[in-house]
Order: sequence, then C-alpha cells, then structure tokens
Amino acid sequence: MKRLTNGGRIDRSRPLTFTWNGEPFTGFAGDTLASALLGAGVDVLGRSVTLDRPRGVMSAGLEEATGFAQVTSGGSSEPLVRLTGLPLYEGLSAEGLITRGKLDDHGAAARFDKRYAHCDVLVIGAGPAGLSAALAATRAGVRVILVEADVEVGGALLRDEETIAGARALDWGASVRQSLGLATNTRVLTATIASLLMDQNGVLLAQRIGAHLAAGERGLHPEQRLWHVRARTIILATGALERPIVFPDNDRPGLMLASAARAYLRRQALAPERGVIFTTNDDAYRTALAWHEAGVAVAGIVDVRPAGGGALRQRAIDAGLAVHYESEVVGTVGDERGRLQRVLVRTPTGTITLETDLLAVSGGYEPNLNLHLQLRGATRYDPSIGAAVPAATLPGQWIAGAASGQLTLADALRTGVEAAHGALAGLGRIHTVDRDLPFAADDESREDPPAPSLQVASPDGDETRSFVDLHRDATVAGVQRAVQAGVRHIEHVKRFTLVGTGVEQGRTARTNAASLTAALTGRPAADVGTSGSRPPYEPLTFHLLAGRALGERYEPRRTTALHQLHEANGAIFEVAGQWLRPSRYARVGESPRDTVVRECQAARQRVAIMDASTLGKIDVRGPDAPWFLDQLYVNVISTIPVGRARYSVMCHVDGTILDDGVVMRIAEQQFFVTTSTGHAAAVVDWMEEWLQTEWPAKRVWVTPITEQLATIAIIGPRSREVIAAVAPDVDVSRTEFPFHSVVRNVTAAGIAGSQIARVSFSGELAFEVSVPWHEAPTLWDALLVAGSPHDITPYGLDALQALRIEKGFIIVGQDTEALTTPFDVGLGGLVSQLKDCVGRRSWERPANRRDDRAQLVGFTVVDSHEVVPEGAALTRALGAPPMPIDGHVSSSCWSATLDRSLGLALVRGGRGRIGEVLHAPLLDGRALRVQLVEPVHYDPKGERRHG
Amino acid sequence: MEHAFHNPDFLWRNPEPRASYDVVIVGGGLHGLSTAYHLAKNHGMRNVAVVERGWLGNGNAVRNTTVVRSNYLREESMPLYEFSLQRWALWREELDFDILFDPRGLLSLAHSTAEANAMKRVVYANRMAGIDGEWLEPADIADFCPIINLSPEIRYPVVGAALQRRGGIARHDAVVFALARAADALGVDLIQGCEVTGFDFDGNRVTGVQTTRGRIGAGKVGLVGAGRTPLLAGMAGFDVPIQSYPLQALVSDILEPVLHCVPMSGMLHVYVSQAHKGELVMGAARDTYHSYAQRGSVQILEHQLQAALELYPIMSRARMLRTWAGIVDVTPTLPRSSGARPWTTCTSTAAGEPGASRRPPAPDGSSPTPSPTVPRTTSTPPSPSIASRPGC
Repeated sequence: MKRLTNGGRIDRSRPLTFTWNGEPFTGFAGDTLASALLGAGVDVLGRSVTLDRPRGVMSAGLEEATGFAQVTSGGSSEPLVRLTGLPLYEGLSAEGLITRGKLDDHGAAARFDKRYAHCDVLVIGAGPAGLSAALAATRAGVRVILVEADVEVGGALLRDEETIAGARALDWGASVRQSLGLATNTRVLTATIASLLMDQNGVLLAQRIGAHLAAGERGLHPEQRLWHVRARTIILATGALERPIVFPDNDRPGLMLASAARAYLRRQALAPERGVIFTTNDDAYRTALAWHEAGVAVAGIVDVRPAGGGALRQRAIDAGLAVHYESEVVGTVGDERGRLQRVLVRTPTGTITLETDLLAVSGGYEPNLNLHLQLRGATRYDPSIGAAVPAATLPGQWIAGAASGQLTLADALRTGVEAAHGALAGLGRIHTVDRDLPFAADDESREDPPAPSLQVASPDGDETRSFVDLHRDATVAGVQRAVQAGVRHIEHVKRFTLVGTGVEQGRTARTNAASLTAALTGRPAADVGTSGSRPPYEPLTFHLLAGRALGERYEPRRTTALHQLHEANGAIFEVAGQWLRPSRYARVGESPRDTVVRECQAARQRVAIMDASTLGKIDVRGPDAPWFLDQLYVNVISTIPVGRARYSVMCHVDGTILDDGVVMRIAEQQFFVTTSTGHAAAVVDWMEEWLQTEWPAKRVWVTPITEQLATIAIIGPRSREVIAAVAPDVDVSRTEFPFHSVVRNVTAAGIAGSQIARVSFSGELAFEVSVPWHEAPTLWDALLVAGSPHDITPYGLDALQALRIEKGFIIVGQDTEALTTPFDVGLGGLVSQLKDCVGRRSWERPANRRDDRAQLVGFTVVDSHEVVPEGAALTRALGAPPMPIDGHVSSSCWSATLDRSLGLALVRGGRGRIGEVLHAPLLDGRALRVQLVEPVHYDPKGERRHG
Repeated sequence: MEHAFHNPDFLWRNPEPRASYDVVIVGGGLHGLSTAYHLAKNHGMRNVAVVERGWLGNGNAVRNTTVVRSNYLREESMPLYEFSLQRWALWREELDFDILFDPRGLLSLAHSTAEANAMKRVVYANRMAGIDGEWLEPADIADFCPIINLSPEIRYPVVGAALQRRGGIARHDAVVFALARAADALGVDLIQGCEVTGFDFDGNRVTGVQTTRGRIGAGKVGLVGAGRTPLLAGMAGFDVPIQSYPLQALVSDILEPVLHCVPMSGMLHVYVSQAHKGELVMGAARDTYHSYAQRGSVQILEHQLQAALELYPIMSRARMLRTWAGIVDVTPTLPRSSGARPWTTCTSTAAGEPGASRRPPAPDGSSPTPSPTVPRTTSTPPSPSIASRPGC
C-alpha cells in the first residue's frame, strides 16, 4: 500500500522511527505497527505455521489472524503482539514472528498493576452503539464505565463517512467522547479490552498503558493494568467482525478484509495502487467508493450476487466502477515473494484477470459475541446474515448495535439507547432518562441483502490452498478430510483441523468452518453451530494476571517479635507455612547434629528456651463456650476448673484428627485454646463454620489472638527457678502450680498482664509465658539473664522434634494422615464416653475399628546409629520389588538422651506388632532394620514433667 | 515451522442407536471410550454402545492437562496406576495412532522440609512397588529443568524435588480419537448427541436408558460420566458420596520450547507442561465450591500465575490464551475406597478425584476389575499433609 499525501488521522508532523527485523523505518503518530509497515511497503510479515507460506496483514483490528510480532521494549520482549492493535511509538522494535513467540528472562522486573472498580453500567465497545448507550446512561447520572479496545473511540465511525443529525458521524463521536470525559460519573478506558466475563457481571479488563509508550515516556506507568470490574449491568456493544471468503490462494499478502482496507484509508491514509473488491454484500462497496473518492484506482468489484437496487451499488455504478455480478474470485497470482499481483475472476461470461495489489474481501458481518458465549449465552443462527446472533441476553446484560445482529448505523444508535434504557430500568433509574437523545443516522439508504457465507470451489479441485484459518494453516481440504473420517461435530472439526486454535481463536475462521462442515455433511448451518468460546477474548499476559503479588509480596512472610534476636543468635531458619522459625542455633564449628544434641541436652539436663509464638492461640468465650468446646473436642472441656488446662484432640466429621492442642480455662466463660502452628487458621475456620452454620444461636465468640500474644517456652529441670526469678509474685511451686495450671494477669519480667502456664511438649518440667507481642524481646532477655546461672540455651525446631519424638508426642499432619483417628495414635484414652462430639459417630464405622489400620508405634534402629529418613517405607519382606508396605517412618531423629536412632512410625496393625523387626530400604539401595517399640521412648511414666 | 499433526483417514461411523445393547456405557469421555474398547478387545463384548450427550471427549477429556504418571502413594492403588502408565507406552502401537505420549519426566517440587519428607515418602513407596522415583537436590533440579527459579531469595524456595522420569504428557484430543476409532473398529456404536434422561428398571435391575434419541435397551449400564456422576446416579435413583468441583486449567500462546519436563508445585498450586505444539499447559488448585459449570474463579488463576512467575520468571510475558474448568468428582475425604459397593445392580461408575480426572484415564477397562458389573472408582488416596511442619 502507499501513503496518500493528504487525509487520514495520522499526524504527519510527528514522524516516528521504528525497527522491523532490525531494519529502521518511519511511520507517523496515529499509525499502528501494522499500518506503519504497510505504509513503508513491508507487506510480507512472516511465514505460515506448517505450510511455510508468506503472510501479511489481513485486518485492521482484533480479528487479525496473521499479523503478529515479537515486540521488544525496555529490555523485555513480548510475544505474538497483534500488529493491528499496537500504536506506533518512537523506538519500537519488532521482529516478524507470526506463529509462535519467544520468552526471555528479562521481563520479570516489569510492573503490572491491578485495580478494582464497581459501576452501574459497564459499556463494552465505544462504536456508535456503545457511545450512544454510554451517553444515555451518563445523562441519567449513574456510574458508567465505557471500555474501548482501540486507542480512540468511534469503532466503525472511524472508517465510515456517515452523518448523524446532520454532523459528520466522526464529529458526533468526538462530541460524545467530550461529554463523557466531562461527566464525573463516567470513566472512559481506551486501549482496554474486556477479556473475561465472570458470573454476576464480573469482568476482567486489560488496559495497556506503558506498553503503548516509548521507553522514555513510560516513567512509572505500569505496562498494563488489570481491572476487576463488578458491574450492576453490562451493555455489550462489541460490534461485528467481517468474515473472509474462502477461495483458492486466499492467503497472500495483499488480501485484506474490505472494512480493514477502508479503515487504513480513513485512519492512516493508506491505499493500494489498484484495488479490487470481492464481496457478498453491499458494505464492501463503501471501500470501493472511498478509494474512488480518494483517487485510488478501483480495478473492479466482484460481487457474487446478481445486480440489485441498493443505493451503495448504484453509487458505484454512477461512479463508473466496473462491477462484475454473479462472479467469484477463483484464484490469485503472486510475485516472486508471494505478494498479490492479480486475481482470477470467474464471471458469467468467462474467467478474467484483474491486475491489483490489494484484494479487499467481504464475506459479510457477524456479531462479535465472544463475551456472551463465554458464559454460554444463547444464540440462534440468522440466515439473513449467515451467522449466529444472540437469542437471549444473560441476566443484567443488554446487547446493542452490530453485536445484536443489527448492522446499520441507525440500528446501532437506536439499540444503544434502548440498551441503556433497559439497563437503567433494571437499576430503577428509568425516570431520569433523557428521552430526547438526537441519535438519528441520516443515511437510511436501503442495502441489498447479503449472500450467505461463501466458499469458492477450486476450479482444479485442489482444496489444499483454500484457507479457512490463516493462522493455523487449516484448509478446505483439511475440513473435507475430517468429514470423510466421520467427524460431524464442529468441535471435532476444530480438533481435527486445528481451525480456531491459534492466537486469535479463529475469529474470522469459525463461521466459515461451520458452514463448510454443514455443506459437506448436508446439514443446515443452523444445526452445525460454531465451536464454543473459552475465555479470555484477547490473551492476557501472565504477569498482568499475577500483578505485583510476587516475591516478598507473593505471600506474607510471618516472623515473630523475636526474629531479629534469633538472627543475632545464629539461628538457621526454616519455612513453616508462612512463618519462618529457627531450626537450630548453630555455633561456630558445630555440626548440625552437634547443635541439636547440645540443645536437647540443655533441655533434659538444665533449662532451654524456645520462641513458641507461632503456636495458634484462640480466645473462646461466652456463656455457651464450655458446651461448644465439648462438641469440638473429644474429651470433656466443660469440667476443666478455672486456672487449669487439658490436652485434647479435635476431629473432622469422619472421625479423623483435625488438630490437637492444650485448652486452658481462664474464667468460667473464657478459654485460651492453643493449636499447632500449621492449623491455627484452620481451627478458627472450623469453629466459625460450626457456629455460623449449625449453632448460630449459641453465644460463643471466637477470636484468633496468635499475633497478639508472644509465647516463650522454658523447659527443663531448672525451668521453675528461671520462672520464679522473672515472676517473683507467682508461686510456681510444685504444689501451688501443678502440671496443666495457668495464671493470667501476672507480672513476668516486669510485664504486667503476662500469662504463665505449665504445659510440656518435651516431657520435662516446662512453662509457657505469654506476653503482649511487642514485649517479647524484654521477656526473652529477662529469661536469658535469669537462666544464665543454668546455662539457659535457646533451642529450635530440630531439638523440639527430637524431644517430643523421644516422648512419643505426635505432630498432627506429620504423625497422622488424612484418615488417622485418635485411636490409631494411642489417644483413645482422651475420648470421653460421657458425651457426643464431632466425629464420634464415624468411629463406629467398621472400617475405623479394624485392627489392621495404620497405627502409631515407636521404633529403634537396630545395630546402627544412622537416622532413618522420614517418609521411608517399612516392609517385613526385604527383597526385589514389589515389596509389601507395612508402614512408614513419620518422625525420626538421633536421640542424644538415649544414645540411639529412634522414631515414630505408622504401621499396619502396629499396636499388635511391638517387638517385630522391619526393614527400611533407603534410596541408595541399602536398608536399615528397625524394631517396633512402644511410642514413648523416654520416661514412660511421665515423672520428669513434675521436675 | 511447526510439524503438522496428522490424523488418520477414518475415525468412526456415526450409527443410529439400535434398540438394545448388551452394555450401554453412559459417557463418551476417555474413561467411557476406554471401557468400551477394552470390553470389546479383551472380553469379546461387541454389542456395546457408548452414549454421549455432547460430542466424544467434550467433558474432562478435553479439559485435562494431559499429565500421565504413576507416582501415587498408596500400596492398594499403585499397581493400578503403574499398569495404566505402562499401557500408555504401548498405546501408540496398539491403537496405531500417534497420541504423542512423551515420558519427559514429572518433577514434584518441595518448598519445605516437611513437604520434602512427604514427597520422599511417595518415592520410597513407589520404589517398594517397583515404580521409578528419584529425589533431586536443587543442583540436580537445575540440570534437569533449568528455567526453575532456584534462588533462595524467592518467597518459598525450592528445597528439592521428586522425579518420576517415566511420567509425562500425551495429546488429549488424539487419545479421544484413538480410543474412539479403536472401539468403533471393534463394533462399538459411538452415539453422540444422545443425552440420557432416565433409566428403566425391572425391579432393581436396570433394563435400559431413556435418551434424547429414544429408549435404548441395555443388559448392563455403566455410568462413566465423571464430573456428572452425582446427577447420573441421582437419575438412576441412588446416591453416591461424591461432590463435584471446578478444576481450572489454562494454556498460553504457542511459544518456542522452554520447558522439557512437567514440574509441579503442590504448595504453590501450579503445574505446567509445554505441549508439542508449543503452548504452556497449566493447572491449578481446584475451586472450593461445588459446581457443574465448567468455569471457575479468576482468583484461582491469578494465584496460579503468581506461583508460576515465582518459579518460572521466564514466563512473565507468556499470555493466557484460553482458560476453562473441568469438573472433578470428589469424595468427602478424597476417595479411598476401591471395593465393590452394592449401589444398584449392574451399574457402575468411574469417578475420580482431581488428579484422576486431570489425567487422561487409566486405560484399565481390562484389569483389574474388568466387568462393568463391578463398581469401580478410580481413586487416589490423599497425600500426607504437606502443610508446614507444624511445630509444637
């Protein structure tokens, strides 16, 4: 194509340089990359996907099937960018990669934002229908968002010369745009595509911002912004897409949709040397007339229909254009690079050749209903336009303009206002509607009816060059093969031929594929339908969907109030859900095992200290709190005296263990519930679920306070002395402060309002002191000072594991599985026989009473100090696979206290197999032998916890 | 240039339904087609129909993420999956159809010690059963899958990975075509556009199905409509302990190859493979509400892509071309039973949990429970908790 010296909407005073495949070119502000390339004479953009044929730009909009490129800017590279939607900017650099993209490592630092918005009326598409709808809604005073994919509003007005109320349609559009821009209740988003429709009128909009700017202008702009919009009503004014015609060699650079050819003329002043029109309808005559008026030679109009009386056709005749009725393009001829040179036209009087460099094709228009179809909106086949039109709208939605199947400008203006009135009525605002919107299109001239969707048979019978889907290289021959193979359904045609599976999802291919299938199988097109539409409408960049929630913002990293102290203390941290917790406090020159041994020895022989702040803490209170906790825990909570605590387990409805923890009674109607770190949120959810769904009338209040209170555990035979030193007002003597006691509102380390409890997860005499979160460092330091005569030692999770494994204490989720009941892990004794609780019923199921269930046992490693890896399988019969699996190692450690390798395991029928020796094959081919023992390895009588 | 995918010249007849069949399979997805094919091939039952309300494969068959693997935990089910995986390797020849089965290696990433231990447990169990499994340390992962971000600075650093080298992907559309063609060739009638609207009983014995294409008599009926099992069972007058959820997936544009294995992250809820054609195929966690609508919540997609970019920064500019949801049938605690249940005489059902429905199916109609008179539940017991090591 060539650039005309006058006309168009480009700014010739603002030339922009860009590179294409490394070569420099110049375009103008107002160009897209597609128009800039066409204007620069670049018409072959790349080669097709499987057949290696040259391809060029075939449209000017969203329906583009071949014009794609890898665009590099700011160091990152974006694949498969649609050239027809990319505004030219200074320094743009693109590579013609039209069928597959490339990824590189440089994009991760870019910024993509999100916004969330609500509105009363969301209008999608700012063509004449969308503009009139948005204006009507705006005047009614409701909150409006108008979305337009293009960089400017107007839609078809940008390519068509028509008048509205005596003014140029384009000027009318500009005045509407100005009105909307001045209205405080309306937001207009251009370069924004409504891509994904959700239930209840949720819509995802992708707005290109920095991605449309030269590198120097981007500043802090995000590349794109994702809008989550929830709209009370939606008006789909998404227009219609022009359909190509299928005929031999219809894929050359130089073939283009007729509407696109017109758009390039009116917007970017691009025209061919000699154009030819091939059409099934009157609209394409507008392109011929536009060329003619711009002084471009029109070599001929090939119209498949007989002559008629429509006004547009008459104007073409009056202009002296050569119209070939009842004729078809049956082939094209290209130059050495494949670019169009001439077309072969079969006329009633014989085949003629027309020299041309641009064939503008129109197979008719069809509503762009992708969003409607995403939620399976109903459609029906409309034979008058040869395509699907909406049969009904989705709740809260209206469809206006060409998207409704009514294609004229007058229809667009009228249905736009009607849709707005419908939406406003739905909002209860109809009384405010200005009924005098002067939306009358002046050109009501009659058009002749279009011919149905068309495939031109190849004169030589070779259908391998008649393309249905230019992006996927799918041809008529491919569809024929599918039908011959037995394929009938359009979705199978798609999967057999890959029609519609490319970047543009076959926007211009689907109807042709369906009508071809209908013809080949002898069915009406209405019976064949078209393949479904999966969201999104336009591809959404991964990074856009991810937004900024990456790296540190991916998920909160939770640390305790003591984190910096731990770091200063040489702590090595591990991931515990969202938390970071110390595994151990390494000293210089110490091996990991040495560290754990040292920390364990401190706990067993003197005193050790741990940050237990991540422990889940829940305040449960209210008159019904005792009753409520009785329902959730397997043992009786309501009988716990004030100031005392009880260890318990809660179960799922199927009787399997959900979590364990210690419940402390603070007051008659107040409990302090602890959970394991990993289940803190789940237990709160669980409580709320029961309260809200089953017992809403019960007076119970559940408050998670994990991050309000920091908790420090002080364990070991000397722990009582340390506590006594920091809390001199509290009598922590053996008699006055027995195991499972709790006092609240005492002063510890000078911190008023502290809580001290006697609980133990190590089997040793142990205390937990809880203070307001920010006071934790004060408490920690005071404890270290008070414990220094006993060489108080901080310990981490590794030592905690060893200590609790030695005692046979389980960790829910590690020593239990999804199916483990309290009975399986030796906690049946907790279960009260006096009351019901959640899960109890399921224990009666025979499957939950079998004696070959996986049961908790202890084990010791025989003849070795090696620690068995956690997760290792256990078998009674070592040999070649398959070996029977008798269980697995759930917890395992080196016990410095007992000077042996030991652990816990879940073993089939394990309770009855104590003493048995099993094998644990290792990944390196060796196997360890383990002997099953009682789970409590150390201090089985539990005497040490009393100090 | 892309290699053109070549389909065979003939797939299937399009027969009118006969008055009756020895067996009517309800559901023309992968499980239904596989059941029919193996009934015909291994058991000589040729008077079989598959009735499908839409088009063959239009449910989860075209919505799964094409992952094939046998690295499951439970002793009871491992042989089933392993048998299945071995059959996948044989299908290309047996079905004479290039289903593009590609055992490129399935990599399960661990992000914490606790998760690593849970994954190692699967590796240990698999090796006991003779199923391949390896444990990779981060340095090995870098060699095996270079695009994974192994930096210790990411929010949840990768600490190791379990690898099943024989796991991989297959082309889902091709598997539908292959099984359907093979069943058709053995005389199975594949009846599409035929929705079951009711069941006929003589006492409690099923005698036929009512369909939108008329009544079809049946000696036996198999319900193989995963994703709609509760609806079908309800229509037949019995309850199943199953709830259905959307499970979303997405594909990207077609891209130059960047990924040559199938890495999965259970903790971050994302797994991805790159199809032969070049698109990234990605799966996520299932949605948390019950639904039969084949779409899910966009928040799940956003979270999934956050996870994807955490692990694979190279995917920043890849784009979501299409997204959808399959419907997975889930038992309340995730399925764990495989024994026969006396639901209704001579009906059977195949329903799976997320993993099961995500995968192309076990081609196990022939074994170990070959008769559709035996209820069969394709099931995976739950993995051990991979939540963090909870601590005290």
